[in-house]
Amino acid sequence: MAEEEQKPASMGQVKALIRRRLRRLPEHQEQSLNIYPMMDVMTILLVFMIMQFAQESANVVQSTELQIPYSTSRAALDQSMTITISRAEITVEGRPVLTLRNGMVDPSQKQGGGSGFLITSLHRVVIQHRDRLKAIAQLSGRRRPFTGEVQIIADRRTPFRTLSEVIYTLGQAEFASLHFVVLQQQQHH
Amino acid sequence: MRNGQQDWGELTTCARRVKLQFEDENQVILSADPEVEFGDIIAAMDALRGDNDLFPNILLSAGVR
Repeated sequence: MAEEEQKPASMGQVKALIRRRLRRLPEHQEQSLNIYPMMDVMTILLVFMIMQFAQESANVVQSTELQIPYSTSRAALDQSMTITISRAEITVEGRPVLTLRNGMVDPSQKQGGGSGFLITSLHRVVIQHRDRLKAIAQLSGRRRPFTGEVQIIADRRTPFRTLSEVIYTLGQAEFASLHFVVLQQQQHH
Repeated sequence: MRNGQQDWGELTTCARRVKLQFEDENQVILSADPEVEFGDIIAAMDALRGDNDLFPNILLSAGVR
């Protein structure tokens, strides 16, 4: 028996032993940094910051066609659909809807012509936005209800007639809560 | 009007006089001629609001013309 134990191992036995030992070793683990949780955190932070900035001030670029009036109001802005009335055009969420002539709407753009108040092309676009916002409200339950809020960024020279026509058209599309975007008075001085 | 410019301070004074008579009232209806500029509408709203102690709820009316 003792002689058998001291017998040198054959090449096949050595190879089998090496294979067994190798199998016992843990598999090579990749030592890299998992960046997915970090990306999630960064995305959440980015969304939070964008929403924060959007609530604090409107993103408005002033030009010769768009000069925003000053006001003593200190009311904060909410996130809502934006309508811009410059001297040359009306845009909804940054997309041009109709052109203006010195801030006036062409009678051909209104239901009933010159004496009309409903701006047909604007009405068509805001109806689409209303339906989209209502669909979002329906999907989100009570978290984002449709409030009919609009913020109006208008050139200070816009005639009251044009403003009335825009407000009337918005009202016909269930947008009844209006906020005028102004510059705070202290920035003027 | 003063020197061809609107006297918004005078409008605030007038609103203050009205407020003294109707202390519980917070609303005011603002209307204007079609050619009045938006900047003047905002100035009138500021004048009527005062320091939020006069008429903070301002309703815009296009009027019937």
